[in-house]
Amino acid sequence: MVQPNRDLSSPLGVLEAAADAGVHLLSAGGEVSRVEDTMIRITSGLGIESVEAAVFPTVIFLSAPGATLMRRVRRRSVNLAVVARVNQLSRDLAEHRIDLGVFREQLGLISTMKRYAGWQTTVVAALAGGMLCQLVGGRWYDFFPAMLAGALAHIVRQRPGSLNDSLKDFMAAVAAVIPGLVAAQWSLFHPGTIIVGGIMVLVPGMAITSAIRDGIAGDVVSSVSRVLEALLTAAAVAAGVALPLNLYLALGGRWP
Amino acid sequence: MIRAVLLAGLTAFAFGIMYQVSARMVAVSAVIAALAWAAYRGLTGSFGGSSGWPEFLGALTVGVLAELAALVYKQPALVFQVPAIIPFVPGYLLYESMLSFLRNQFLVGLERGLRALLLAAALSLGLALATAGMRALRRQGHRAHEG
Repeated sequence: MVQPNRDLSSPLGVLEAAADAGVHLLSAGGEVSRVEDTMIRITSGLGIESVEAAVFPTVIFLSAPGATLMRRVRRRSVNLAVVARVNQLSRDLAEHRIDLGVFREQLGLISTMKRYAGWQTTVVAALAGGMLCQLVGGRWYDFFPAMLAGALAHIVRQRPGSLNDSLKDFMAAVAAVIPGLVAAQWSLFHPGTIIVGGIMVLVPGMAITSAIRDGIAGDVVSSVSRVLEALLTAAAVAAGVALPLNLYLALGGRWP
Repeated sequence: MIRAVLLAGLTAFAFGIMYQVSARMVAVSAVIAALAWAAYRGLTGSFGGSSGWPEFLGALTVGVLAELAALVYKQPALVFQVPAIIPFVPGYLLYESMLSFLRNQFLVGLERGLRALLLAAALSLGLALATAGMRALRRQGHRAHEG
């Protein structure tokens, strides 16, 4: 948020800019140590010393002599474009290639930053489903139902709405199972590879990788909570696959 | 083998786009995934059974190459690591484990589930070792630079 009435280069103004950058990084899935380093880089680059930053996956604390800020991060998603962009901006600012005004202006644009449109990510999600199906041993004709599964999983999960993330993962997994169940009617297909191709689109790869990197950096609290986040997603996906599959098998559905 | 390597690279490419990585960096992570998958598949024959070594070395390759790419392109290492590790996730084993439980084959389900967990541990260890090693090297570099 740009507040034009305040002197931008006051300690509080710098702290606010740094905290905004941190919030963007954290809600895009950046590691805790990266968020802390970035905020410190910004503040010390602008001449404010002895700043302490403490970051957890859901909250940011930033304090300098005479000013303390806390920011709450409620919604998190995966957007590596934002991570890379904030990284670049903070370097530019710390090395005085841009000034604080430009920095805050650019930060304001980040919240809507999307490199690829919804239909583009849906197409690649479909391709990802198809290719993962091939990678785990599907035949070439399994590619097409797996593409459908991947696309369905992605569409359901990316659907905007106030639904809880775990619930979205669950529903996305349910949607991803349907093409596999339909394909199971013909002995030609390998429904298992189709289902796996579809649900692999929902793998919490970001949470797992960040958990490892946070743990290595010594940020054990956020490492543990990211592991929990990944486990929650995995549990939601597993439940979303198990429920329709169990119902289908209990009703005597055909399965190879 | 060549088909699988291509598939792994393209999978990383697709996930990179899904995670909003720029086209140039997506291409880099696709190459990383393909190289790591080639290493993984090349090693699968050399170790008996499910020792976890091929997965570990595959993940190590992803980790080291991603850290190097991060230095070269001045990007966060996550940009390369996250898409490139996806093909290694033991999704099929987890699925088989779940299906076995649903069919009352609990022992098979447990065996598959445990194997998937062990492979996941091998993957994490590979990534963790690469990151920890590169961090240590970089810190040493900084110190040499300052001193």
